[in-house]
Formats: sequence, structure tokens, C-alpha cells
Amino acid sequence: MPATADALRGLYAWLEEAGLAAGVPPQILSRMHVAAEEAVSNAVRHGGGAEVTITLAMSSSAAELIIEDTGAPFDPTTAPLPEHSRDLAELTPGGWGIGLLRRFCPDVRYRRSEDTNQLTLRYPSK
Amino acid sequence: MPIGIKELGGDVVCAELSGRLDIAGAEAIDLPMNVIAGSRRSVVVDLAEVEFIGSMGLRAIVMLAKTVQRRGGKVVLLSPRTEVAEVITTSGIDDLVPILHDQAAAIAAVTLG
Repeated sequence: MPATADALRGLYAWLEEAGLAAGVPPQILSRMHVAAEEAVSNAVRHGGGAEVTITLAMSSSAAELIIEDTGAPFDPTTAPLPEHSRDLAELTPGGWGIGLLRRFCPDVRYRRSEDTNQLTLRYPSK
Repeated sequence: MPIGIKELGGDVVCAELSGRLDIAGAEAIDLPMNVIAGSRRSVVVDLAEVEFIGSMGLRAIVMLAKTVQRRGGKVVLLSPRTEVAEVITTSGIDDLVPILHDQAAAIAAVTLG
């Protein structure tokens, strides 16, 4: 998928199709949708136009969504959560992605290998 | 169009959103949400039929609420499903735009005194 907003537009349909084909349980797929949208948004935003690759793998122990991009190093598992204003008038929309990613995926793993960010969203079956 | 507009009486308008508020869904509601934001001061956003909400959907709701509040009005969110509510609360938006599960209570909350 090219690293544009178009990648995000097609994400839901792709995940639905790939998830069903791989036998990912619906309740996992539903939470994966939320985390994936934020993770891919991050990859697109930090990727600087580089390619984003998304792979879904299902094993007996877990469903894993692997998101790779060749942009600047960015580790959402350790990035600080942005502070949000407690006042609607002052609130700048955005910055929710990292919190949502961590909330909607029980096991997020980041690895930088050579020039690639590899983010694994892991959902254990049990 | 994943948005329907319903009058609830007493100058209260209800924006009934539906489907997936991902990047495409958020774009589709952008214009009608702007029209509501610029013209109404008592707004209920009905989320009961929303299956999915991501950052872009949250942004659409926050932009609406900011504009309506600036114009002296009020916005509440009505009846999101469990997972949609979890996205909203995780982002802390329910502290600024309240979530209610009863239409009468929602109308009362946005009715200006």
C-alpha cells in the first residue's frame, strides 16, 4: 500500500476480508480495527511518503498484524502520551492515536531493523 | 451519507451518525457537521448506529463541539456502542463532550436556559 491517506481508506475493507479469510475471531478483529487505523495513520504520518506494508498472520496462539514503513524511526510503544487540555475551547484535536493503539491492542511490539519500522499488534487467542 | 439530521423540537437538532467514522466516514460528514456547527446551538450527536470510530471521527465531533460552544451552545453524545464509547473515553473526550444514554436527558442537557 502506498503511504498516503488512500492506504487508510482501504484499510477497513482489507482488514475485514483478510481477517475473515484468516479466521480471526470477530471480537479480536473489531479491536484490531481501532488499533490498526491509528498505527497505520502513524506510519503514514511519520513515513514521509515511504511505502507502508501491512501483513495479517493468524496462528494457533495469536492473531498478529504487522505494519512496516521505511520512514523515520518512531516507536509508539515508548512515545509519551500527549497531554490533552481539560477545556474544550483550548483543546487541539488530535494526538489520540498512541493512547488508542495501546488501549486496543494488548501486546504492541516495536522493532527497528535497518531502515524499517516494524510494529506488531499481537492479539493472543486465549 | 452516514449522517441524518432530525429536529427534536425546542431548537434542538439531532445529528444521527452511522456506519464507520474512519477517514472516509469523517470526510463524508465534514460539510453537514460544519453547517450544524455554524447554525445551531443545541446539538445532540446520536452515535447509536456508529459501528466504528477512529481519530478522524473524534476530530469531527470535537470540531463541532468547539464551534458550537464558542457560539454559546452545547453538544452531547447519545448512546454510543460499547467499543465506540471506549474510543471516546480513552481519548478523554467524554470529559468535555458528555455521553448520555437517554434521549430526554440529552435534550435537557443541550437546551439553553
